[in-house]
Amino acid sequence: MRRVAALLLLLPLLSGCWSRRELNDMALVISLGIDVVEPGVNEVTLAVAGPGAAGGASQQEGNSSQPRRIVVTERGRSFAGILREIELRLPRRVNLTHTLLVVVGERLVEQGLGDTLDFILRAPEVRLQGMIMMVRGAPVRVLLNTEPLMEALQSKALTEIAQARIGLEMRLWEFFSALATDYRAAMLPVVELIESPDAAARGERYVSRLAGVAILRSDRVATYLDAQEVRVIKWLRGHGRDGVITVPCGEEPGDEIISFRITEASARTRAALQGNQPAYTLAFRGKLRVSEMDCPRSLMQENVQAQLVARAEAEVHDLVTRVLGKLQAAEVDPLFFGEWVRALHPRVWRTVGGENWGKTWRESPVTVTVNLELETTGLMSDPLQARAGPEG
Amino acid sequence: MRYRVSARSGGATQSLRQRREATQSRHLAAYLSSVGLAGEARLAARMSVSEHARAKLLELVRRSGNLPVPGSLDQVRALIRLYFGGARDLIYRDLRLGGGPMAMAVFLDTIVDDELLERSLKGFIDPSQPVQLQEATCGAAEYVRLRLASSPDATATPHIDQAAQWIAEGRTLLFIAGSNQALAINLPGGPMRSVEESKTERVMRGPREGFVESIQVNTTLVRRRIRDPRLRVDEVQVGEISHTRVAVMYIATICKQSLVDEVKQRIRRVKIDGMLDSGQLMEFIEDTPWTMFPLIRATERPDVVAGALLEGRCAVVVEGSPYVLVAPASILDLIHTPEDYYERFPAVFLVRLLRILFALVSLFGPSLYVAMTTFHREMIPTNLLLSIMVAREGVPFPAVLEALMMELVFEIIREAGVRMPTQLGQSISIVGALILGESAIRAGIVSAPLIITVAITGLASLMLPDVSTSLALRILRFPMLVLAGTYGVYGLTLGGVAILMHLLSLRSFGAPYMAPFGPLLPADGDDTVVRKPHWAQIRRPATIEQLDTRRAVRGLKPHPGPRRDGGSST
Repeated sequence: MRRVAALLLLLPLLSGCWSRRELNDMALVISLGIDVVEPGVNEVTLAVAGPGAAGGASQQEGNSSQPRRIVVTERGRSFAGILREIELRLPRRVNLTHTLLVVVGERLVEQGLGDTLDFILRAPEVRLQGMIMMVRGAPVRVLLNTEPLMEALQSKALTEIAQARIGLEMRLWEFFSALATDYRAAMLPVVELIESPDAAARGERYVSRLAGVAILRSDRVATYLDAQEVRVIKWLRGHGRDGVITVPCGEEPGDEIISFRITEASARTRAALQGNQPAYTLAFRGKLRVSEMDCPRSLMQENVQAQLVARAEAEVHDLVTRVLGKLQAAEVDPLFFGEWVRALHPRVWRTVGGENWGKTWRESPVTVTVNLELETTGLMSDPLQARAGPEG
Repeated sequence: MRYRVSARSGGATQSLRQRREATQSRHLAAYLSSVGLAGEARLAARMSVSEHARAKLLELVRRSGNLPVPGSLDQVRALIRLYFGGARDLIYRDLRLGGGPMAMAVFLDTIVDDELLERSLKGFIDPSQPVQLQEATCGAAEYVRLRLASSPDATATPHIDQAAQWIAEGRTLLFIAGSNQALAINLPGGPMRSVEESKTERVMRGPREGFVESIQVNTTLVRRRIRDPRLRVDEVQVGEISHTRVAVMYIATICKQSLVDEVKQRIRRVKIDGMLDSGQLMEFIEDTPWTMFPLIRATERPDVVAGALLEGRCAVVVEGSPYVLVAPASILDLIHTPEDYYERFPAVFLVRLLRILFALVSLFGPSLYVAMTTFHREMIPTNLLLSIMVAREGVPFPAVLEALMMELVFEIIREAGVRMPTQLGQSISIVGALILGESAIRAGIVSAPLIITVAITGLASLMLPDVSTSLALRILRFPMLVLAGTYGVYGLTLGGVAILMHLLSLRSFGAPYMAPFGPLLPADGDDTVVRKPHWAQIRRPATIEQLDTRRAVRGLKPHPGPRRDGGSST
């Protein structure tokens, strides 16, 4: 008992209430935008959660008059200096622990990130589980000011989209670890701001959407992939499920189409060394489900099935080859193909890897095989159309 | 002074009273000198004129101990009058024993059953056979006890002090002229609460009987459940003035004698004027007085006591208290209810898990909320944090103060609810829960998430079956809250460790309070968080040492019997 009491009395010496901060004294930064205005001068935009940020029920109680977010922008040379400048204007202390999203401006990525993001990596309060994206089409501050659809906060909306079926999810830690090596290319999901009449109806100028991904060589953009091409990246990263393959379905390719949905997907990379030159074989496997079909052909017939699946395989093959061609042309390797050489053949890696990996990768032969299988047609029998004949 | 005069003249007239006192003084003096107490006899002679002498004489007579019962009924009357004064409920009833010698029954009519006494006295006055005391070889009192007394409990005593004490305890004393023994017959009566359902330990399934204030009834309730001569009920008296009966119950072949001896020795050590409840006795016989946790379990249910006795524990029944003490106790009492042993065991496991979870909530609930919102915001998911922030917008107090305030308010509502007459209980809950909470939020003085936290915590502490243990947690919550408000989860950890260390240091009659977790007794897993089905509980808990550890035979698991052929088999 006495020992416990002594322990409790000693407690104040060990620690203090320095980090105590009430919630209503905090400016919770939800997303952080970084852009460059002129060489050496950065523009930092903070989207701070406002009193209306919780959305949902509180809105019905008439809280909608309160702002959901407060966007503050400040220019300066150093990040920390800009933050202090912002604190001069904000009545509350900036808190970066819940930064869900870091948005990088197009100009900054085109010109090279350099050490601009150094602050984010060093600050202990920023959690590296946050997402990173780049914005194309307008400055970062415009994106953070845009009213999102459905969600209360733009950052929430964008991260949700990125986590959904077609987006590419890029967390800060993955981005930074790719950025730290000179042979692995970092990827940045691209948010596009496009002017649209829909947005104008809501009093906005732009609407934002996820549009592919930028592949970086060292710290600047080497090439862009569009949303369709991102599918290949996702498939190779193990997230090939839920993709859609659309091919013509007529006996002769025409306007009528059949869409397959990928229900199971896997991709396997094999590598072999020919001298100092690695050669890769990518095997894509997947199971398909017919999600829609325009033409009156019976999928019960094996030859029809085989023909259509072969078309889907060809489609995937073309896409993969296109993407790999693009990556090789840009000498970027975002998918870690070099790791196999680096880990298993370090001696070879010393000559062809490291800084030279881009060149080596460009020359590496890649064979792609696609093996798809129709799992179900989605119907118990042929569709009515097929039974009744083409006249329907 | 006027008041005293009027009080004196209450019953008899002044002169009658004086005459009565003079007679008493004369008889007393004669008695005392006959037993050889000359000094006391002189004091008795002065008694009728001096109040002081009367008080002093009583003290002396009491102290001189074993004075014999006088043969003269007048002297008996004078002595009893010395002990009891002019008590209004003390009845002296003169009677003739079946046409034989004179006798006098003395009793307090407030605590004696009138009807039974009437029947009993009838046996003395009008016996079926003539009384021939001359035949008696063993004294008149013994003759009456063996031949005439019809009441089941009849004892003789040669000491007047013992006789007076027995009268005070509710026995009827029969003094026989010429006999130096008094006969005590026990016919307890007076108002008594009937056996009802326990109010504090309710069950959905299981026996409903609860203990009452009478030790007689309480031991009966246990006896009825354990019908074996090995169930021992040893009686000790506690209280110099209250002479409270305390019964120590145990099963001789299961409970270790060392435990019984320890319990009895600790009870005998208590020298106090009165013992009004078992809760009072508990504080005298606990192992560690400075603790929040009850080291002895108090229960209102006879089935709990019977179960504990079968596990080798000891029970202490105190006259006048509906709570029976069970020792040794352990922290597991916090999560065990009597119902657990009557319900299906998988459900019991789930409910016990809930109890553990909510015991922790009731201890740490509000403090965790305070620590997380003021120190460790990164622990809260962003969306939840946003909701909390919005709710806290405009609340003028820091979160700690807010939580402390609401906890206090909750304690007030609860305390008021307990003390309130039941008719007002409803309005208390309405005022407390609805109006106060709702308007506090509307006024922006407290935030809704905090109210939710406090409400959950309150419910959690109400959910725990053992009132005293949950009371300990309820009070420890406040220091935890202060720790959380100043040091965050770091403080909570330290506080939690301090409580854990304290709990681990506690012992209840030598058994570790945290057993079977600390010390870890894996063999004791039959009935901890998981209650194994009864057929799988072979041994009694090892935490309490027993003489006989086996409680059931192996292989009691129900299984299909040998296959029976016949009937309409195809």
